[in-house]
Amino acid sequence: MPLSIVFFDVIIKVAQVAIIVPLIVACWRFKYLSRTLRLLSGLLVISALISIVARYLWSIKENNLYLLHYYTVIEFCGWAVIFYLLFESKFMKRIVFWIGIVFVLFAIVNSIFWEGLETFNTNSRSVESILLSFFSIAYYVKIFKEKRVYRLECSASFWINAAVLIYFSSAFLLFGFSNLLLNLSSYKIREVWGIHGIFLIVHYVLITVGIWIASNQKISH
Amino acid sequence: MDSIQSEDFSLILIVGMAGMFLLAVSIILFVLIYKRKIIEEQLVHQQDLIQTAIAIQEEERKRFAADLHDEIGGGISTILLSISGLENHFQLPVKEKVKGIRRQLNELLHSVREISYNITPQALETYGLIATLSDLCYQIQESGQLDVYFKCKGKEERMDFSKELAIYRICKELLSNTIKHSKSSQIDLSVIYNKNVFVLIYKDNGEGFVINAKGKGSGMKNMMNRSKILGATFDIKSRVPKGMEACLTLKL
Repeated sequence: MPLSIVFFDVIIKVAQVAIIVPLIVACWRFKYLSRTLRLLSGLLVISALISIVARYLWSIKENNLYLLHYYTVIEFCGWAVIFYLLFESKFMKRIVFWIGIVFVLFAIVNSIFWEGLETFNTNSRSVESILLSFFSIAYYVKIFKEKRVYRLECSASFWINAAVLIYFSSAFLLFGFSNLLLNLSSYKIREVWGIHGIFLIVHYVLITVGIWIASNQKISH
Repeated sequence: MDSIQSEDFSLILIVGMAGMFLLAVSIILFVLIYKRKIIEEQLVHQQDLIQTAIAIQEEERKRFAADLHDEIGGGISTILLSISGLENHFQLPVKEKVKGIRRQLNELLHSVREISYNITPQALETYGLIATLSDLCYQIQESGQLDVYFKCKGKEERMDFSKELAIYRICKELLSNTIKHSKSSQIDLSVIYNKNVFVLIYKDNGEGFVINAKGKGSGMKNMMNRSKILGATFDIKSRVPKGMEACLTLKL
């Protein structure tokens, strides 16, 4: 087996359990977390549970793709509420709210009419990634314009936003072409999902940094 | 999809994902670095504003101290001179009262000069930091309360008056704290001018104190704030009962 495949297999396995790190930190520091970060912790718990169920279904050779349809909606709604809380302007809050509603309707319609529960929901996943990347960039524009003097690297929202932007902008191409990946060789599929695993690990590491910083600030205050 | 197409497709996908990853990282770094640059510029601007405000305040204090010294002090001196001239014209009981008034006026004149000196030490501007600190240490030594050793290494480089005044006030606060609270028998104050760096080291052999303990507030905060405005680093170490050591370092 080529060394690169071994490497990507290891990355895929590590990425599957990487969610444990922010979950442990969130549980340990839960009482110091803000409402937004508690919501994020809840989202992490749901992600972990769905991953476990998906893994179990895969092990008994059952199709688990329908879970992804539900998870996409839950994940988007979770992140949309987090961004709703992070944005201060009424204009952005309204945009997040309406985009959230339109996306949920779109995801439901997509699952019913275009991409059934037995297939990858590439449309919903890629649209979700684009929308979350848009929220993230909008949030960076907001903090960039702000005249408040504070160090971004000491701000939890900066790191969590970085986690969203890096993961969803990097992975949206993969989500968009997930169905086409089935035509690739097993070697290529592992390579592509291995690279996705790297982004996922970075995503969880950045979320962990954000939660850690937020809880420390709360303690020091 | 044949094998060549699938090879191309996976390559394009990986390159696309890597490109998006790099783009996202670039956006984050851009925001981080540019925001930091803005913060630094704002801090420099704030520092400039504070320096200007302090310079104006010091100028006003100087004018006030000079007015106090010249107008009030001068007025009292003139009254003293007049009273001295009148004194011989009075008989004994009144003469004694006049003597008493003269003594009170002398004390008042002394107080006015002291207040004027405390507001802005004239010697600092005229003779410089080293001479003024040396004089301050000499005065405490002469009072017999404790031994004060003052040392200066290197050639004195004059700084802005506001900087010298801030250092002088930090020294005064340190000396005052030692005299009031530490039960020291000895103070060592060293000033070093070395390759564009000014270092002030202050030590006493008193009881020491717990840093950040309650009740050690405003004096310490004032010293910290003054050194921050100066752009200097200021460290204080103390252990009960081993005395304290303070070090101020400033780039000239």
